Amino acid sequence: MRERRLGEMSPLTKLVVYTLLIGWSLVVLFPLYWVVITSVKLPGQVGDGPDYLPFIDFMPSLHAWRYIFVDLGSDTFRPYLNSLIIASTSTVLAMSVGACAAYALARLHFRPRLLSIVLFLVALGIGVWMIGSGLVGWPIAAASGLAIFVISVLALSRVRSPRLGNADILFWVISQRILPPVVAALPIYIMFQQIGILDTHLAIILTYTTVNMPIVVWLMYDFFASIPIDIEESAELDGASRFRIFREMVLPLAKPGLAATSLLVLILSWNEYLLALFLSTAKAQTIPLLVAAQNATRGPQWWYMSVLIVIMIVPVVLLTILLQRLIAKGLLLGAVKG
Amino acid sequence: MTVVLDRVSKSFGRVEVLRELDVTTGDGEFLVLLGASGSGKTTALRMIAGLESTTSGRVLIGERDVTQVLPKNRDVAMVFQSYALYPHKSVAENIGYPLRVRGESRGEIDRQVGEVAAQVQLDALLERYPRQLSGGQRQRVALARAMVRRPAAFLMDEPLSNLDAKLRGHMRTELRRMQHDLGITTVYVTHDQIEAMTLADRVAILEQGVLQQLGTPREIYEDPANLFVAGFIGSPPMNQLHGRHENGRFVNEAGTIDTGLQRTLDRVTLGIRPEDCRIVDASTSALSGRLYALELIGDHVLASVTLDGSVPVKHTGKTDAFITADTFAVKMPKDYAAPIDARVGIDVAVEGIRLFSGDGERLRR
Repeated sequence: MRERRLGEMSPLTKLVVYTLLIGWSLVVLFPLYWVVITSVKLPGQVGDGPDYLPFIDFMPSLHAWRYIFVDLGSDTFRPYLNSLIIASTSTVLAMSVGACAAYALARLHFRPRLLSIVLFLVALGIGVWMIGSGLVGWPIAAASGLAIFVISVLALSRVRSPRLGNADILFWVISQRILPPVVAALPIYIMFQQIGILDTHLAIILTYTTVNMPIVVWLMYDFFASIPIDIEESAELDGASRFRIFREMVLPLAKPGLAATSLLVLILSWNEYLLALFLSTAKAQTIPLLVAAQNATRGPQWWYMSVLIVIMIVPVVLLTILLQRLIAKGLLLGAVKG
Repeated sequence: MTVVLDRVSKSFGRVEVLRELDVTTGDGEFLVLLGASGSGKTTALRMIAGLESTTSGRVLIGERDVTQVLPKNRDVAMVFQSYALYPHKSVAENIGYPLRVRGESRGEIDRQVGEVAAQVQLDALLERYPRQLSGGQRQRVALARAMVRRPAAFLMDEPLSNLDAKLRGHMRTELRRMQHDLGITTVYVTHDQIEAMTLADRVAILEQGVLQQLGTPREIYEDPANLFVAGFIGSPPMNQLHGRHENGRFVNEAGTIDTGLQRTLDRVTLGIRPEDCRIVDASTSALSGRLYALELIGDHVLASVTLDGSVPVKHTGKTDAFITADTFAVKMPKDYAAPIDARVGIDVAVEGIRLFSGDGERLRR
């Protein structure tokens, strides 16, 4: 029997491995197939069944597609556009802020005093109490809180206090995402209601940016930290400013990480349901809400839902295919040798 | 332009890395900072570059006090040990980057890049990327990038250590030549004493953050300031014998050596280089012992001898700390031969003797 090379599998092993792989692929791909054929089934065919093969088990019909695109028309188009605008804008914002924050945490050394943080929380508490007590409006309460904070920090600047570091800040940022966003849904709702931006793009974009930014920091921190620092030091000696180094050295070298993280954030924003439900009614409705809304009083209308699901998936799949090469490099990112 | 470290100290928290380092280079001098890992040499270099701040002391470049000046404004160029080439830029873009940051015109950048690339024989490789280059080529790119700036000083952090031995020797010569032609003050960090001896106008030897000696290669070889320097420079290292000194002679269990020094000392270390010793007949010699091994180096034979009674020692650089070295080394002509374990005697040349006090300081007459 021929000697087997290391890593080469015996025919039996190959059979088992490929069976498992094909099996799992079916498990993953079948729901997608099912959604696509459900979108061309008549209501009756969805109820009877299951019918697996179009033209053989059942005759496909485009009635659901016609309904969604023609009859509903702008009622379909608007949420789709909203989703596009909201997801892309919040992703760009979250990436911008998050990447800068991650780079700062990776390269700069912060040592905030614990005392200052405590004073901030105290001032925050006072401001909240002032609003809650109804004595003053929120602008005055905010200004007072800020003034209290600044004055107390200046007054106590000579008092010794233990200092925190980058690791603490990083953990604090990441811990914001450990908290389920829905916990803050009601307070955010009331806050936006007071400001008067409910049911607008702005409200949802702000919320998504805030919620996703910790993820960006979490992921990009490692990518930035793994870039050899002597590349940046060399650029510094060559005369580049910190911002120029970030733009011309760090970002290009972190492209795989940026692509992977952007896609993740985009998908999270695109699919997000609960916060969008809280913060929108009609004008800023997003696609996930429209899909869920097909669950009308007459029971779930699977055929319409399937059409919406198909058009909801398409942009994400296309984007993933486009970025696939970059992302694979990012996931396998090993040592970057200068 | 001279580079001055004016009593510079550096501590990271409680750890003191450099203590009161005081070095002034000449204009156009090639100064080597030599030392083992942890000696503080790289920290000193980074402080000249401005990549580390000083805990105390000043850094001057020319007449300018640059202690508080940002690295990019110090007009120094650094070659890193890993070369720190920009992986996403071509060779031409790497070399031209400092000029681009400075805002030079496209045409001017191309011209200067071409000029420097020709000087280091990179003109055929300008469109390649760092990952497509060999180690030696990458090193030349790093050098070219430093040269194109015509800085006040070059700083080099062990730039040859990533090259194979043959290329290293070749690049050493090239570096020296280039520095000589350009006349730019260079501060060069290395742990390799051969590099230091061959490249430097002067060498500053550091150990645990303290300057041991600053001198020309000849001075540190012939006239070491302490036992650490004596043991660090020279290959094989200087032989050291631990003993007493009285009546103009050094005495220990292996024998006595006339030194001519009229001092009485309880604890003294006698240092003598292998080339200042000779193996002779054991009956009339100063020292005696047994031949442990013979190694043909090529142009000479290195004989290792285990001395009677006493054990040769090696100073670790810390006060009063000696560790034992197994054998005494003697350089003999290349045709020397003798049976292993034969009884031999060793005579030393008086002018080669270096005496050190009990705590390692050099005793000068």
